[in-house]
Amino acid sequence: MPSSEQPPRALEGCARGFSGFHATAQGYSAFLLAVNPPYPPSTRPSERGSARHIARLDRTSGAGAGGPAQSETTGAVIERLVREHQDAVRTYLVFLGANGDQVDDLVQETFLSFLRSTFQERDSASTRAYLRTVARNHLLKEYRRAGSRPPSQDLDAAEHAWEEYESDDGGEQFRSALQLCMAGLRDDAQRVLRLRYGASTPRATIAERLGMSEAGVKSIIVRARRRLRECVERRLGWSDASEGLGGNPGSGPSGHVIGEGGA
Amino acid sequence: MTPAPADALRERVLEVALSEVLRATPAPDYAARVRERWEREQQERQRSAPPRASRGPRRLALVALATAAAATVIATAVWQGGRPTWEDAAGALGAAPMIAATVGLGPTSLPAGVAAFPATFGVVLANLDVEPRVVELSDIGQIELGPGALLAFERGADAAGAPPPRLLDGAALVRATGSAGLALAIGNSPAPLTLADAGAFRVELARATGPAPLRVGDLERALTEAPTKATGTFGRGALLAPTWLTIEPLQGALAWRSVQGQRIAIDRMVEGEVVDEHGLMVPLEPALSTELAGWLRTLAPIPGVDELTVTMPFERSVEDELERELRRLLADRPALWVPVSRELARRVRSHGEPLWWRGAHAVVARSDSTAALAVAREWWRAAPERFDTDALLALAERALPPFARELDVLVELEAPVAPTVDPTAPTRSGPDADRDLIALVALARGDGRFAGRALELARPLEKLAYPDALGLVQTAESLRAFVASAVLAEQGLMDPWEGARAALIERIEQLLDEGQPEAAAMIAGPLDEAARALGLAPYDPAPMGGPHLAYFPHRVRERTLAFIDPAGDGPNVSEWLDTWQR
Repeated sequence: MPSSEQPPRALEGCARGFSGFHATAQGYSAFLLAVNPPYPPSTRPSERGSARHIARLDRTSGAGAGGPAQSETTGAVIERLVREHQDAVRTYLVFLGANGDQVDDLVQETFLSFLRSTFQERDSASTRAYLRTVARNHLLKEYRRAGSRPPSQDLDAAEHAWEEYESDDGGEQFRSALQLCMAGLRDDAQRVLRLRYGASTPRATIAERLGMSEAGVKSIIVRARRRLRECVERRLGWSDASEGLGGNPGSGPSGHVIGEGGA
Repeated sequence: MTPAPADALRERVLEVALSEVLRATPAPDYAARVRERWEREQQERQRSAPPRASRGPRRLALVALATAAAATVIATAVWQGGRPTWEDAAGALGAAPMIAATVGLGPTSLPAGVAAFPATFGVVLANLDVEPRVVELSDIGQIELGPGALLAFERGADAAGAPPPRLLDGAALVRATGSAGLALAIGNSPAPLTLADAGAFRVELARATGPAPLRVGDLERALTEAPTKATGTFGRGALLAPTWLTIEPLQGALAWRSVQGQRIAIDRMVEGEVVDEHGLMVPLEPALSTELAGWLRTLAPIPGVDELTVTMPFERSVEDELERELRRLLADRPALWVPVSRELARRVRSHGEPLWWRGAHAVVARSDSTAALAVAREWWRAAPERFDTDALLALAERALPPFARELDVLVELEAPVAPTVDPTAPTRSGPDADRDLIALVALARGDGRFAGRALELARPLEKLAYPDALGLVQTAESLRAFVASAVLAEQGLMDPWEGARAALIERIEQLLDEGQPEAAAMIAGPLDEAARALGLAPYDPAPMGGPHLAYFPHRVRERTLAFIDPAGDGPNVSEWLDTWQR
């Protein structure tokens, strides 16, 4: 078979398996570099990969294409890339159980790894997925280094849950629904949630500030969260939400923590 | 249909989303920091990039010549254009085997250079950038240095002014190069290195009294005062002790030489003692070997020892003694990594080849190869840069029992491994041989930077090797591909198993081209297992053409299927392989 035919046939055969032969070839290059490094570590695949990656970034920034971002420097492209995806990476790491300081380090390491990589950007979703993989690997490495276990043992399920959250829009739809549902919560519930999740205030402090018992705060949080989840999942049309959690679409929960009208 | 995620995970998602939606403070912005780190990384890479062959009209060649016969190295700085040339240097130094690297030259004199003294063949590294700077470890990392003393000197930036000269970390240099020698770092100097200097370079290690770092004056004094014929003491084989000392100190098998020429040679090897040529017993405290090793690593002074050179008068009697010493040491340990001649290694092992041998180093092992591997692993973990990757692979291949030679199988799993292995468990279980193999092969076929993690990588292998699976380690290709991809994935350097997949595809195609469809199919199996072990979802959730071929391009799949499923009634690679293997 003529080699020139290989890329399309490879694509054809793999449905959405491989997005492009170039990715394969470059991955192979990286592999070969790894198994038979012809030059010292300082110039190994990371450097080559990074060069390609930045070239790609430059391309996507419009450099060389006469676009408006033509004069955008590589550094600016990097910053733009990071800003585009940093929230997704950070929240994903938090979701996986990374703590505050870890998150800051890991996010940076993730992007640096990404910049060094041979990853071929296809679209935002695939980039996010790749970044998640890198972030997860870095986090697992951290856990291994510390001799501890990640909170989530089933990483596949965790990944699935996160993909569901992010969907195609990076979680925007979920968060929009959540905000709408928040507005339907009673004021005291909103206040408690803002303190708890917005400002990371300990329950005891919340209780003291609001003149409530800690158990009462906990109860509000639990109930509000349940209502929010029902509301969000209903809005997003997640089928098992209505079935599993008792909330029929359109009917709304009957509890007093959340009002359907607001959600 | 995709199953719903666990309830707890959705709760967790909600919590995280809540934190984002309700956050009272702005989300952190990492962009500037990432950019800064990236740019610094790039600058560092650029700075440590290997020298190009040609950098301009003024060029310095630092030549290291090693004569196999005399085991002598002379480092020579050669200026082109009115200065001695390569030919001059070669003529002056004789028709010795020469390996040299050209170097660029800074605007002033000799800004930096590293000359290596190997016992067998010399490799010179000199990295004189356009901008005066010190020699970086990465400069020499690419150069394979033979065992021997490493002389590193820096003269950089004197006239140019910046950057300020600093001493080369000689010990790190030694570690980085794996050289058996000791790095000699020389500080700033107003004078360029001359041929005379180079000619006077001693093969021994010279070190002035007083605390490190060494200064140029130290070297000059050493060069001046040292006997001119000192190289003769190296003899054939040039058994150099530093690696020996650092790795496996053989007390007594040393020759000490001061720069004043007061030779302390070995007449006989007595543990705890060395005997100088005048018959003076020089006590060598048992702890001194360790201390000496530490000193060699750090260039820190040893109290009471002014000068140290390590040479080995390679007399037959000494060799005999050494053999006895090696045998004695082997009695209570499985293997030794020692800088000895191949012949001696053979003698010690007494049958066949030494476990591995390269240059003037050998791993001499008892017949217990698994134990030898374990030892090698430990050494490797302690100082991976010292190991030659190909040699290590050879070690693994020799030491591990072949499973099916015709399939290039490397390892036979000694026993079924429990299928449930906690992927996050800090410690692993499983046959040592597997771990060793993984570690060694990862190192051998991977990247030294990743070597430290190779042992961890054995864990997914164990996870894979459950009894009813094909098992991953069935072919060398799949093993190497898996390890490499796992390593790269762990580093986040690439799409996690892209490398493995691509490599396997390449190999499969090659085998198909060679008319070996069986072998091709053998490789196909482990791939998706590797992907699973890495915790990766397959690209194609609806595999076509059988589970083990789902990751392959249509072209490869077709060709493979044509063999394993000629009827086209649904291949099952696992079944087929089971049958075929039986």
